[in-house]
Formats: sequence, structure tokens, C-alpha cells
Amino acid sequence: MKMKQILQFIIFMVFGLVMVCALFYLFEKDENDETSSRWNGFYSEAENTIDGIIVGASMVDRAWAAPLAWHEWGVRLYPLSTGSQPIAATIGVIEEARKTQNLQVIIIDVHGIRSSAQLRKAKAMRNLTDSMHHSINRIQTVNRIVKYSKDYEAIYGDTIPEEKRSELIDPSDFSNYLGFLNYHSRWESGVSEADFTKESTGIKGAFISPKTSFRAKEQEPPDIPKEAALEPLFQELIQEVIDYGKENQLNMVFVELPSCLPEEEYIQMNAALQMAEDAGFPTINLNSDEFAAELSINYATDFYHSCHVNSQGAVKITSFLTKYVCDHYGLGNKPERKDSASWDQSWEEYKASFEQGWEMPIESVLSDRQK
Amino acid sequence: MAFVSMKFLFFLLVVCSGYFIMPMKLKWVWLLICSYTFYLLNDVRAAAFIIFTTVITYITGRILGQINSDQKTYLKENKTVLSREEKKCFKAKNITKKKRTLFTAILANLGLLVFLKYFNFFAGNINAVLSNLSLQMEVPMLNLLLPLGISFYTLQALGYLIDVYRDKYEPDRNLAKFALFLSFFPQIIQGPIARYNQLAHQLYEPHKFEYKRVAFGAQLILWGFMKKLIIADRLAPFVDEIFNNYISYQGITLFLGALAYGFQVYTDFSGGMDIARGAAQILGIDIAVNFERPYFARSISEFWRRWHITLGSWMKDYVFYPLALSKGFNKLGKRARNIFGNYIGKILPTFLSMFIVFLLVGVWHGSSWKYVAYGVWNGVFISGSILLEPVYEKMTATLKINTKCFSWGFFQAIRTIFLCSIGRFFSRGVSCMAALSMIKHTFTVFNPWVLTDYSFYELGINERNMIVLVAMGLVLLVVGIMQERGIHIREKIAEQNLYFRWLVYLGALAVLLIFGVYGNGLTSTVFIYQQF
Repeated sequence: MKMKQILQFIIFMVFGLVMVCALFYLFEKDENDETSSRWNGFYSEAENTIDGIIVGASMVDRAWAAPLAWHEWGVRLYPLSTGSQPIAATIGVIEEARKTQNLQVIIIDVHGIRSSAQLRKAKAMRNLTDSMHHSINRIQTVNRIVKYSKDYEAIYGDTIPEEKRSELIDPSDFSNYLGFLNYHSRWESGVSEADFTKESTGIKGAFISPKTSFRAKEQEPPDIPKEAALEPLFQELIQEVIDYGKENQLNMVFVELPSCLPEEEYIQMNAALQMAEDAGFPTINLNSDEFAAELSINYATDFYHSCHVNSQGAVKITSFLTKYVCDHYGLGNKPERKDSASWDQSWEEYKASFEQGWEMPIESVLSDRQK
Repeated sequence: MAFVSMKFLFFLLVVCSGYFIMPMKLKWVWLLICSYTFYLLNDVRAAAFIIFTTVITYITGRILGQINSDQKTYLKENKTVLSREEKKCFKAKNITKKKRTLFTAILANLGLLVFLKYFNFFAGNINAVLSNLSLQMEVPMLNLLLPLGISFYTLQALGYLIDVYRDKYEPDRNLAKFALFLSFFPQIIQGPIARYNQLAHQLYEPHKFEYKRVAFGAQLILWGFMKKLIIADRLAPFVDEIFNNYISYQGITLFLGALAYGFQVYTDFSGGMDIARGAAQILGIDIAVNFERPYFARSISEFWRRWHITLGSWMKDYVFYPLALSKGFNKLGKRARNIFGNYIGKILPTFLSMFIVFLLVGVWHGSSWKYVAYGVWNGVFISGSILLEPVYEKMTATLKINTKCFSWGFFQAIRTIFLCSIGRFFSRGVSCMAALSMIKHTFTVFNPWVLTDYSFYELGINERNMIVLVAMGLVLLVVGIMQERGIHIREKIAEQNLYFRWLVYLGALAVLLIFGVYGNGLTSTVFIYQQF
């Protein structure tokens, strides 16, 4: 092989690599997807401008109105949540956020620990990991979820319904790591502008959907038992998060967001909160009598689904939790903060959507809370 | 390990890197290790079968070689002493000895193949007959393992044995080297069926890294991937839908299914061959070409000269000629001459041998009556064309048809595609009866509107996928035409400006990555011929 050929080969490979990377970038995931835009939004934040994150499954983004927390209290708490986000992903999500942000508080919702949420669908994992930038942490996050999925199957495999098996995580599936293998066929539905521009959420990861956010469906208030019990595998998952938090001296707060679920699911979440409390981390059970009055959640008007609050419920939860972090972590009331334009813009957008959806000013819900 | 997978590409990278790093003397050892690793990664249990075939064939080859060599030495030493009769007698004795040895080895190798591949077929049929006769007996059905590539390496081994028997070449004296000849990884899954004198020396000789060969090999692999992933696997859902639910379809829809299957199996098989040839070419080894644009053929016999060429040529050398030139067939020809006249007497041995060859080709594909019917279908057309050749000549002369012009050639090619497509009903149909039913419903229902009402877009290929198929079909056609004209595409591209060349290569890669039908780990569906 002549020198010229070696040089040509190297240049060709570089071109090839650039092209392949461009294709991977373009077809990584459907960028019109909610989780992608939430993560794109997070990545577009300037370094060390976010105060904290709130991690969990879909109930987190339904409950957390980041623009409101900013506008009312000057707190920048970004929701990093995905539909059915596995607890096994928590460390990976926090690690990803810590790469660019100095997090003063990390709120973790424990709903993901319920056994009903344990059947890990590949789609749930991909929604999250394919939205993250390619990195070692992303690979480790996939590995953690895949390992947990294997452990789960080894113990509870017999209980998994046959028809659900095809939806589960396949540990040998290479597309777990390389989304392109899974998404390249999106050319059929057309590649949109968002695929090129990687658009981010304008409302800082908050969830607003005309179909659900402005709809109320009365829920039966839950019976919260006193018992606490969690199976060893799930205990391990919580323990890993606790150990990680301790090791890195993180201000983690374990919360149980308002929901209306069967009694046995609260027994599991109680156990998770108990473990966190025993380890010295603060916990907040928003379904308990202790906080219910202060939160003033109305089961007739603030939910659209047993797991999800609507935007009115979100305003109440956001107000409560923001006040909590301000009181306990000295956040908020920082009018001179840099890079505020996009946060101010997000408030305008959120407020407009809220008021258009409910046909009432957002302040009316806020003033209700203040009363 | 599927050819079309990330694992294979990684494996190939390791094999090639290791091969070029390896000292000259050890290169073939590296290939042997890699070939067996490849085979074991595919199916550990099947390794015993390929080792059995290798050892039996090697030992038999050595015995046959020894007899040949002893005979030559003896005749040379006693050239002046022995009379002509004595020499003849000695040769006859040796031939008997050789025949016995050869038949034992054929019986062992072929017997294993037939047992594993066809036992349950025979058992099923015997049981059906016994049941019809109301006999309370049953041949048990066995859960047999069909080792990967057994249909290919068995024929390769038999070809070698027959050639050594015929004293065409010396037998291999190194068992390990011979094991490499039978197990060379690019061709173990689905051929081509190599000849010892064409392949073995290439495997044993060391090859240095050659930039051009490596580049050409990689290009051939890319082309193979494109055929398989963009065309074959895209056609698969359409073909599966029609053949698996054939009762729901009629007329032209059924024919389109058969036509699509023809193109699916062509791009699937020839794509696999391109990958195999490309992989071998990178290592400096040229393996036989198995396809020469079969859909350009003007007759079924020409189609079979262009399709799965190595199987056809194997059948020609080891079945057709031995049969056609056998004493039995000669006698038959003579008798036929007395009864039916000179012409029939002359062509009968050829006609019958050809028919048997195609029957065997059909049966080689699998153990089912549908494959027997597939063989008969092709055998009838090919034998028929031999028989009716004078009639065709008269007909074209009477109708004053210019057989040299393009339109006649085009007509013949379309006719061949049509006939081959009908034959596909047998090879892909779920059963022989299903194939017959499909043929019946193709020709008894007239529904040309399915071509214009877009109803077939609901059968597994939507409009966008159809556009991709048409575009790739055009690329395939242009490439085919250029190759027919003797243009070596890769050489031609290599002559172009660097920028254009890179644009072509990177463009092809991008097209493959975007439009290829693949999923987890770049894996595609299993190659169709891998199952044969």
C-alpha cells in the first residue's frame, strides 16, 4: 500500500465517518417527540444556570411547571422525565445533568418503583436513552436498565404475559445503544425540519397538551396505608440511587407526587420513601395527610387521569415544591440571574397556553393557593 | 452468525486483519481457524457432521489417489513385460476397486445428507401409504438436525472424490488443508459449490494485502448488502402475504407474488454470493461466480446456465454426463432409434439425463413434493425444448421471424421470466397442492385492474417502498446491461475522478443505511438458500 493510498483511505474513512455520524444524528429519534424536545431543551441551557432537576416518569412533567417556578420564585428546576421512566435510569439521568449543571437540589419521584411499573418496555427505555446525547454515560444508563431488566426477568419472568414479551427490552439488541438501527426507517414517514434543527421545548420541559392538560376527570382520593414493603430487587434499585447520592454528596429529595392508585402500590412507595429517610435524605409524601391540606389538591378538578394531574394540579404542586426548595435550599429570588430571556419567554408561552386552555387567568389558581 | 449482521462485519474485520498480519506460512491455518469458528458460532452441534464428511472424503481421496498412483507406477515399471490384455485386466481390476471405494464414500456422505434432509419426507409418505392401506404401522418421524450448509459442502466433497477417482488431480495430502477447502467461511452457508482445482490452491497460498483487491472486495460486499437489504427484504412481506394467504388472492395478484418472489430470491441469493465473493476477494481469493444476470436469459435452459451456476455445472459434470454417456442410456438410445427413428434415438439419452438432472435440482432444494414438482416443471421445459427444437426452428422460419433482432430477444426474455415465475409457485408455495391451486387461480381469474387500483399497496409494500424498489430495480437493470456488454463496473468506477468515486461509494452506503430493511444489530432476515 502506497503512502498516497493510505492517505486517501484515511480521508475517505473520515468522510465516511462524518456522513454516518450525520445520518445517525438525523435519524436518531423522532424529534417531534415530547421527551426529545425536553432533553434538547435541557442541553441548550447554558452551563451552570439550572438550580436543580426533578426526575421520574410522566407524572413528573405533568406535575411540574418549570416556567411558573421561575416566574414566581426565580427557581430554575428542570424536569428530566420520560413516560414510564425506569427507576434504574435515575442515576444515569442525574449524571447526565451533572455534566453541565451544578445541581443544588435533585427531586426524585418514587412512582417508578411500583411493581406495576416494573414491566420494562423497550420503548420506555429508548424514549429516554435515545434522547440523551451519545456518551459513556448513555451507554452505562442503557447497561443499568438492561441489567435490571434481565434480573427482573430472571425472578418474575413467569409472571410476564406472553403477549407483552415482544415489547420488552431485548438485552442482545444493539439498537439499545445505537438508535439509528431502530429509527432509520423513519424516512417512510418523512424527515421533518425538527430532525435537522433538534428543536427544544419552549416551556422548559413542562407538559401542555390541549387533549389532556385542560381537562378534569374526578378521581377517587387514595387510601394511603401505613405499611411499607418492597421486594429485594426493587430495594436494590432504590439503594443504588441512595448510595450514589451519598457518594456524590447530592441534595436529593425523594417525593411521592399526588396520584390515585391502588392501595398496594402505596405500600411499595412507602417503603422506598422509608429507605431514603433512613439513609438521611428528606422525603415528601404529597399523598399523605401531612401535606395534603397544604397542597390543597382537589380530586375533582386537578386530575385528568389516576396518575396524572392536569395543568391546574401542576400549578399547585409546582407552588408547593418550589416553596419547599426555597425554604430548605436557599434557592429563588435572584432577579439578576443571567440567561433569563428564554425562561421569561417560557413563562409567557406557558401562561398563554394555560389561559387559553382554561379560559381563565393563571393568577386565579395561584391566588387560590396563596389563600 | 448471519452474513448481514454487525457481528459478521466485525468477524470479517478480525479475519482480514489477522490474515494480513499472520506470517506467510500460517495464513491458511488462520483461515481454517476462522472458518471453523464461523461454523461453530452458527451451530456447534453441526460441527460433527462437517468433520465426518471431511475425514471420510479425505481418507477416500487418499485411497483413490494411492490406487491411481500404484496403477501408474505398476504400468510404467511393467510397460514392456505386460501384454495389452494383461494391462486391460489390471486396469479393470483397479477400476472395480476404485468404484467400490468411491461408492462407499458417496454412500456415507450422500447417505448422511439424504438421511438428515429427506428421512422425514420419506417417512411421512410411507405413513400416508400405510394409512391408506389401513395398516397399523408407522415409520417414526425423527427430530433431525439439518447442519448448516450440508447440501453445499456435501456436493463439494463428492465433486472432489469423483475428480480424484477420474484421476483429474492428485488428492490432498493434508487433512487440515482439506478441512479448510470444505469449510471456507464465505461459502459454507450457501455456496458457491467450489471445485477443488479452482479453489484449494488459492486457499493454501498466502496472499499479501493488495489495496485494489480489498477495495473491490469491500465494494462487492456493499453491493451484496444493497441487494439483500434494499430489494430482497423489502419484497419479503409482500411475497409472504401472498403465498401464506394465497386463498385470499387471485389472478394477476398471485402472478405478481410469484414474480416478486423470483426477484426476491434472486437478490437474496445473489446478494449473499456477492458478500461471500467480496469477503473472499479481500483475502485475495477468487471464488466462483454463481449468477450471471439470469433474468436476461432467453430460455429456461439459458436461465439455469446463469442461475446458481455452480450447482448447474456440478450437476452437468457429475450427473448429466455420466448418465448421458452411460452404457444403459446408450442402449436405451439404440432401442429408441429402432422404434422411433434416428432423431428420437439420438436425443433420448440427453433428454432423459436432462430431466433427471432437473428433478434432482428440484429435490436438492428440499424434502417436499413441491420441490419434486419444481424440478419436474423445469425438467419438462428444458427437455421439451430439446425435443421440440426442430419444430421451433421450422416455426420461426415459416413465420419469417428475425431471431437476431432485439425485439425477438426481448420477447424471449419476457417469456422466460414468465415461465420461471410460474415455476416459483412450486418452490415458494406452502405445498404442491397450494402451488397448483395458485396456478389455477392465476389463469382462471381476470383482474388486471389490480395494477391500477393500487390495492397491492395494502399487501406489505406501500407507495414509498414501491418507489425505492423501482429505483433499485432500475439500478440493477443498468448494472446488468453494462455487465452484459462486458463492462466491469468496479473497474469503470475506479477510472473516474476521485470525487465522483467517493460520491458513488458514500452515496451507496448512505442509500443502504437509510433504505435498507434491517433492525436490531443490522440483522436482516435469513438468506433463503441458507435453508436449502
